[in-house]
Amino acid sequence: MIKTLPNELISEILEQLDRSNIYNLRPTCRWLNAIIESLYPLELLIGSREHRLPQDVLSMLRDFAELSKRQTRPLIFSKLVISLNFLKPLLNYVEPDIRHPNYREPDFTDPLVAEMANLACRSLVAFPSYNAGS
Amino acid sequence: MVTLVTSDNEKFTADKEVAERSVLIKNMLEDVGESDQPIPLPNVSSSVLKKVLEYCEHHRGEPLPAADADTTQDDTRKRTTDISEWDQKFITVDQEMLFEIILAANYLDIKSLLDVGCKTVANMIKGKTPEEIRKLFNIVNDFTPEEEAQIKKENEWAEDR
Repeated sequence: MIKTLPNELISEILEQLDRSNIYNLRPTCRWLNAIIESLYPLELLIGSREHRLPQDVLSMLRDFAELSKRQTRPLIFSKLVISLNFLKPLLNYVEPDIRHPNYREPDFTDPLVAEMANLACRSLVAFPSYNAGS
Repeated sequence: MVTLVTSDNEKFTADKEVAERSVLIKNMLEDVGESDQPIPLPNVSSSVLKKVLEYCEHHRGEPLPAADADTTQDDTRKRTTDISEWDQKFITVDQEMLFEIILAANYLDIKSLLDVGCKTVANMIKGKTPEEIRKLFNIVNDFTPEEEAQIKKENEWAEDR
């Protein structure tokens, strides 16, 4: 009966849950997994509101990239790269939000930041479906 | 007083103040002006509207969330799974009714009721294994064993982050 709810209401419910509970929903069925995969960016944005450090997220993205290569699941990584709003000010892709708690001046001499920029660019090129939507 | 007509053609009368907890009804009333015209609610059945009006009656007079509420406050609203004692009792219904109430709250645009419904479902999910969640919501596992194992593997990896 939960399937009577439209995706936006499932999203409202998921926003009430922490990561481990969201992850426990993924293996239940294809329908819920598809919704959750589409909401990964949202989940990570919640993470950013919980003051996860940008460095931690960069590290996560690096691992996602590795996972994508191994598991042929590029979708997760490409979505993460594109939607992580708090990486945008970090990498200065768009007008920086200097009021964001995780804002800092981009420092491309930092190897992690430089690597992230490189990863992001490569992923954007690699996944044309996302380029088409941008 | 306002007259509301449900999908099963039942008529309900409610105080305007109570009915206007619903943004949809408030807007419809503004559109029809000072008319006694009944408001049709084709997406809400009588059993569900009865519950919705009970909720609105109980919460009458409480401030409504502002349409342009500050994002930070909105986040707080979304992330708090506490439900008041009265609301908890109110929402103690069978699953079919629970989901009907959530759908009606969404359609009628009653944010606080939508929150109560979504928080209730979230609380039902919390701490449960995938198997328990399937059983709870009568979900059929349509993954192959390999796909399920793959997702669980990803989850374990993500949990370690």
